[in-house]
Amino acid sequence: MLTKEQVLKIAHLARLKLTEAEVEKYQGQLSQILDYVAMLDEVDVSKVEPTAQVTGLTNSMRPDEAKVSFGQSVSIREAAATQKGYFKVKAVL
Amino acid sequence: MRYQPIIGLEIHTQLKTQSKMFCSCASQYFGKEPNTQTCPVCLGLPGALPSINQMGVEQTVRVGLALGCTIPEESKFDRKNYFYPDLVKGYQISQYDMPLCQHGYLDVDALGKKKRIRILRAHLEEDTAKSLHEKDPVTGESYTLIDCNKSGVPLLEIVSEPDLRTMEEASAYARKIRQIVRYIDASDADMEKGQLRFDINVSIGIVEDDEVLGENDLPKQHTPIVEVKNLNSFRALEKAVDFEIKRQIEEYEQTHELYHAGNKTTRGWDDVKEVTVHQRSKEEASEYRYFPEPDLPPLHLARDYVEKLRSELPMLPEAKAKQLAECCGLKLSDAVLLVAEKEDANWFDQAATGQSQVLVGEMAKWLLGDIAFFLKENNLGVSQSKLTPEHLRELASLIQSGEISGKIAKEILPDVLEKGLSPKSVVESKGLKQVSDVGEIEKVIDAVIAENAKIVAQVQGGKPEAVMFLVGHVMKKTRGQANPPMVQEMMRKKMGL
Repeated sequence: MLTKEQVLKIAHLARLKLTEAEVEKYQGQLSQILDYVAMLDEVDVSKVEPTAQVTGLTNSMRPDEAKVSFGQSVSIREAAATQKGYFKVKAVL
Repeated sequence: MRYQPIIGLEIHTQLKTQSKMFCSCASQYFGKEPNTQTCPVCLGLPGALPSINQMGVEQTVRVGLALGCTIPEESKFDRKNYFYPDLVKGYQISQYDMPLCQHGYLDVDALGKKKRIRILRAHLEEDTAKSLHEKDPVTGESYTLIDCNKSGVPLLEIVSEPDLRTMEEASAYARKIRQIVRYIDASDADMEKGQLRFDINVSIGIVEDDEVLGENDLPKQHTPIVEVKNLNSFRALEKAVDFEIKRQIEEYEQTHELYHAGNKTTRGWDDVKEVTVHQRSKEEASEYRYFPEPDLPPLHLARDYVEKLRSELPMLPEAKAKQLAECCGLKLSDAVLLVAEKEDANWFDQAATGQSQVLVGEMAKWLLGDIAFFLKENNLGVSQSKLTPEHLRELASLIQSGEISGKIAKEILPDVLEKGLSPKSVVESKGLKQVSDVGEIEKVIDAVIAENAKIVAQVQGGKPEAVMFLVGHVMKKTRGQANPPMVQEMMRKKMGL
């Protein structure tokens, strides 16, 4: 089972604030998920080539041509806050 | 026991392409209004599908080849997950375990020593958006403004092994990387536009007296590794390396803390105070939760494609300097200066091709001397100045043939450099041609002898060195136009020396 510290670390990486009760809940649930996925360890893959994709495609590339983009007004239209054409967000650092 | 700085460099350089790495927005964003070159892909909108820019891959492979890297047949992109407002998708498309370039090297000269710096890898990724940190003057509220024009611009990260040992080596390595990417036209690497940035990794080796270390060996023990991020000038790079070396030695002497898994930290560089500032504990790779980018099929780099790119690479500066030194009898150190920038190297090629060694030597002398001084004053490269290769050749020929003296050459330089006039025409219009006519010179010599009886007597009375005084007078009278060796010879003859 995952420790409380591990759950809190994962929550931090995902920028989630968890209550004490939630930490306990996720200790159980996340552990179950990991155990479930770990079932794959039982499969014999010694004769299978590793792959990151199953589409069979390679070198799917486009030529280097610049095309017309969104204008500024469209780009920032759905933003919660904007200023002078920029997205405005909470301070970082 | 002694301290041994251990330095590794990560260099980020924006690749030269028309469009962004994973979408078709224009990649040249400098000076553009914010958020005018964006689309669903580089704004990280849900459901947008990235596609690979072929030129981004090509430029990466070209840099890798120029740095002696192996280009593996198989490569792929991965997602690097972290949260920061300038990373709109919540992940950066990068390369984790199968980068496009591996195991290269670069030979650098620093402190009079040549050293091979190994390159671990170079991988292709996307640049982040630009953030401006602001403070409201009225409310005092701090906030950040985001411009996504830079988001998705192809970015190459070149990672060195921790082979650098001094600030000078780190600086020489960084400068040479910049020179090479510019030479092969893979990046403009314009530092003022933020196209080239450095991260440094520094720790201090604690070397025991009986510990024997080869050039690139790491000491058994060293201080915790510190990464200083986002240095955007050579000056900042040099200052930050120097500062970290001193700071870490001081810290070690107080704490005796050594590196172990988990005590890496990240520091920022304060350009004003010239100090590094603690930011955070460094993420371990696992915290980025890298996984293969499901939206982008893997790359297969055919050998004939890679070899074609290799054969098309232009000659690199090191080889070019060597060739120039050998063919034209120049000092290697002079040749290195002449080919430092590709445009200038091509410019000099135009001037020098097919010319005699003597003439090329004369051209190099002026280009590296008075002309270099003028260009530096005006902050120009020779290829951007009004001086043409033909005019430099003309100037050198005029001097070599004795038509003008070095002094006259200096006199006409401003017109040649600032107005782009031909040296010949300036000499003629100002009537500055060197006088090599025996009769004319003789007249002046006779006049000088008549006016300086006292000195003549000294010369003839056993002080032959005083003859130079008379020669000087002749030069003065002819406003520097008399051919100096001729004047000397004739004057000595007259004096019976």
